[in-house]
Amino acid sequence: MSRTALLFLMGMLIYQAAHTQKIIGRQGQVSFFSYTSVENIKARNNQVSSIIDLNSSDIAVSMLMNAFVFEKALMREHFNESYIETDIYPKASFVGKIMDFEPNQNTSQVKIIKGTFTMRGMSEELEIKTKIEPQGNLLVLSGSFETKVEAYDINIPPLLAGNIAKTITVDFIIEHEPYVEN
Amino acid sequence: MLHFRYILILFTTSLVLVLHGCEDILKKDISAMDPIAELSADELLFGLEEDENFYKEEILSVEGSLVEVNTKNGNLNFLMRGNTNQNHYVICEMNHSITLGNKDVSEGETIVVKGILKGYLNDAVLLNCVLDKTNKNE
Repeated sequence: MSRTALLFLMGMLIYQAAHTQKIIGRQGQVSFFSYTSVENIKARNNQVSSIIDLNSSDIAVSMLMNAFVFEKALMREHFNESYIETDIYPKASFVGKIMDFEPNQNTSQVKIIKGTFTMRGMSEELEIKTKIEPQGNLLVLSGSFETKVEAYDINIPPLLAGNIAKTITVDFIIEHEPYVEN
Repeated sequence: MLHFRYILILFTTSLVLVLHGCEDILKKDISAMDPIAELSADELLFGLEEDENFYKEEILSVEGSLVEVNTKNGNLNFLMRGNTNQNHYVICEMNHSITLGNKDVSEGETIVVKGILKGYLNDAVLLNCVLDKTNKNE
């Protein structure tokens, strides 16, 4: 799915949120970890956006790739300029559906979210085991998944190949609240 | 011996310059740094809707109405809104050294926040922000 199509779908979900039963997460957190014997790399992004349509169980998540904060400035520089090329590919998106979702359930549920994750113009089909937990008027989605660096055509110089894991662990937690149009 | 001393001074100076250059702009205190522009929340949101690269990665000073203060993800965050664009926020993730209680702000008041603009999703996102002023100390 092209970036334009993903943005269009995200826009449609936001538009529909005003008219149907939608919930929005404005400040979700996504972290990733790369573990190798040479170096461990961790980064987190606290400003991830998400929309869920409670009627259709559709979910659309979007994040600014340049908003990841690293332990070291040099790691962030390499990530933005050499690996992700955030000037060319500023956003990553996930568009999918929560399988067998029970939106009215007032206890915790664990569901599979099937969808397409797109980064650097490359897409990967993912199935993500996700905990869905009601907390007052919030619905909190959290989970973890692994993805392979090679799926996103990231150009890592041979000299640095040992510093970056082939499989990256991604953790997420996103609080959703009712979408209210003003 | 004198030659060695010059090399040592040159090496030390270079190291200091390199380390200084590596200081993370997303963590350092930007209080003393000049913003490239001073905008209202509305001007920022309209600018980003027209062009997603609008002042991207630049230090901006943004004035808006404070609608929410939260500590999501372990960080203090200020959410501001403009006068006309009510459905989108300017989200300011504050510098890690700023905690609730350090600054006297309350929801509904007009504040000015300085931060690094990262871009636009449903809302404008600024990181490593500092509070420039509130209408209490104007």
